[in-house]
Amino acid sequence: MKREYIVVANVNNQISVLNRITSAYLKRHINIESLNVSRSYIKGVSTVMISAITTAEIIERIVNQLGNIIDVHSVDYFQREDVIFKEPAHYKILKHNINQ
Amino acid sequence: MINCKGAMKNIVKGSEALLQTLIEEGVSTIFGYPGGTMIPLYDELYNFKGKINHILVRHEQGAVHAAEGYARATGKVGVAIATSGPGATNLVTGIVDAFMDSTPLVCITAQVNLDKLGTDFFQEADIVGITIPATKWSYQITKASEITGIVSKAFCIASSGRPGPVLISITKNALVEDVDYQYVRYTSSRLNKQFFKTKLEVEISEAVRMINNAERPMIIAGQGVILSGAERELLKLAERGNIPVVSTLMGLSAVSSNHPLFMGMVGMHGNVAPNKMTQQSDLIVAVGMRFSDRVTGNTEKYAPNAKIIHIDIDKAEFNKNVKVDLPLWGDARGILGKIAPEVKFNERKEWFSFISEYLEKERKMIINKLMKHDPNGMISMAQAVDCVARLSGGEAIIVTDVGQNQMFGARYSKFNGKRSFITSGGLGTMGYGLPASIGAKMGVPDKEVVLITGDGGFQMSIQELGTILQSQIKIKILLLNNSYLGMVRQWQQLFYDKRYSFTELINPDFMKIAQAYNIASRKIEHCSELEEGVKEMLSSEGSFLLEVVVRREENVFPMVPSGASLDESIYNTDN
Repeated sequence: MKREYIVVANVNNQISVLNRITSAYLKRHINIESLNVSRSYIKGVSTVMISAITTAEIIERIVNQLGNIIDVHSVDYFQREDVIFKEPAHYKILKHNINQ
Repeated sequence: MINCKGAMKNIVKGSEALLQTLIEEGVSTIFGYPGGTMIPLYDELYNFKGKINHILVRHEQGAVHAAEGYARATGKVGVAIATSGPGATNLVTGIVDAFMDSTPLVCITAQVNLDKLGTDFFQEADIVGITIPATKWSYQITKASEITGIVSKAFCIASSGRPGPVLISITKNALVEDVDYQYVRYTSSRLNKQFFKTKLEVEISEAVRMINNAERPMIIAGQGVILSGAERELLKLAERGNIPVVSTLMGLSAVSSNHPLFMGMVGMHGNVAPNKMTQQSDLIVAVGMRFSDRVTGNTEKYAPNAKIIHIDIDKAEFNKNVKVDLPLWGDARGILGKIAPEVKFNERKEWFSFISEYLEKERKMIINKLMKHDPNGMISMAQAVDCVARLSGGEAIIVTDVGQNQMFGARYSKFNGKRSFITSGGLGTMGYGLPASIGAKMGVPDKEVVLITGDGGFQMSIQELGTILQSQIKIKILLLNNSYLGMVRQWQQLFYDKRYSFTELINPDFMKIAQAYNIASRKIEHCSELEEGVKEMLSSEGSFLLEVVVRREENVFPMVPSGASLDESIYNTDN
């Protein structure tokens, strides 16, 4: 059954790593629904999160193939309900509103 | 002068640092073709005559296939070099071929200056981007200080774990800049990558239990056996357990063809017995193979009675094409070495009698007919290959091109030594054979190298006869000429109502071509001349082209049609 799977990979912050990761999806003709790359708490290591709609079987194969990429340290996949999203929001509050 | 690490400074140009690093990595032979952006490296290469043997090919695709042949024959990393732009893109087919067949390569391509990257400069191509899906790793070097570390890392990656191609693109400025050259070997422990599991005790005990309980077990040897150097351990397992061994196309020569437990090749054009065995077996021990569609046929109907133990160094191969019961992730030699001593002997009379029945059936239905002397003197490709096998005593390294010549080459050659069958398995690259045989001969010059090719594939890389001429490479070429693209024609005959759409070839006079390249040659059209012709080829001092005009519409049988199960072989054009 097709559903959304979120792949999370910790990768070296290097040129071409992202292309290698996305090419694993391209090869299997799978559209990437969303993609986020951010710094991790380890210097030189970035975290890549990719969401795509596919089957459990296919996502497992993709994850295994991603695990073979030299610049990928670790990779795993999750379903949306397994992931806790943190979305920081910044609000500008006028000083007189705080004083009230 | 002292550098920051306390060592004496050793200032050299980037191009010299590159060549010195290649030497440190054990490289003695490279295959390449110069071009504008690569001139600085070739200029330095002029100073390295005697240290690095550069084979000048006639096309970059020839360089990369030659590097593949070299790697496959020696087990070392093959090196191909090319200039930027078209030089680099001409490597792509060979890189994909090496990726599919796990061949360790380091391909080095020049690139335009760092400050010109992305400007569509003359002969600029994004070769790193182009090759990303088909390389194990790639890197663009943009400064000379990166050269030594990156090139050493490239060799480490190409040869460790499951081998594969690595591409290094070097901008021209990096080749001409000065650098303090200090070589430090890159080791796989620095890769921060686990290529295989080291502790497998529980799984190994389970494998032993499954093997000892099996009544109709079989071992399928893939190329992983050869890559791992596990030939001896595999044989030990087979002999201790009295287990028949079959091979994939890529695994041929892992086990000697004459070994009593070796039953032949599985797959689309495999032998009858191994395919029937697969469907009847209760346990398959698959070693270093990937259950390619050419091996399994219809996966839904594959091995319906068997449990499968799959030994592989690449975790991604488990359950990729076929569900397996016990995946053993690791180096084949190590794992087989642990399993073999625990396995018990079992006579398996019924199982071997089943196998003998089908070996005999194939001999009667297929082989004997092909080997029969034709009253009109027409030659079967099988006869030609068999003749080479007999007269070379199975000692030659057989390189094939792709198509019918490849399948006849695989089916009727004999192998005594390991690494003695070199072919393009996964990608099926026509034009692979001639350059790959050049590479193989450069790698093992003391061995006889025989190329089995067809008239189609031969002409796809025929320009490499110039490489043979210039570098005095002594290979023997068995050209099976049916004036067709034989395998495509076979499919057109069997599955497309004999509509031979653009598969007939009007060929040049191959004898004149051989003569132009100063290669001794002979053309044979009657089977009575075959043995004499092969003898002349094998006994010739230099290179030799033996053109054998074969039956025009011969087919490779048995054949498992695409999408059919291994049970559904066809044996002739009638069924």
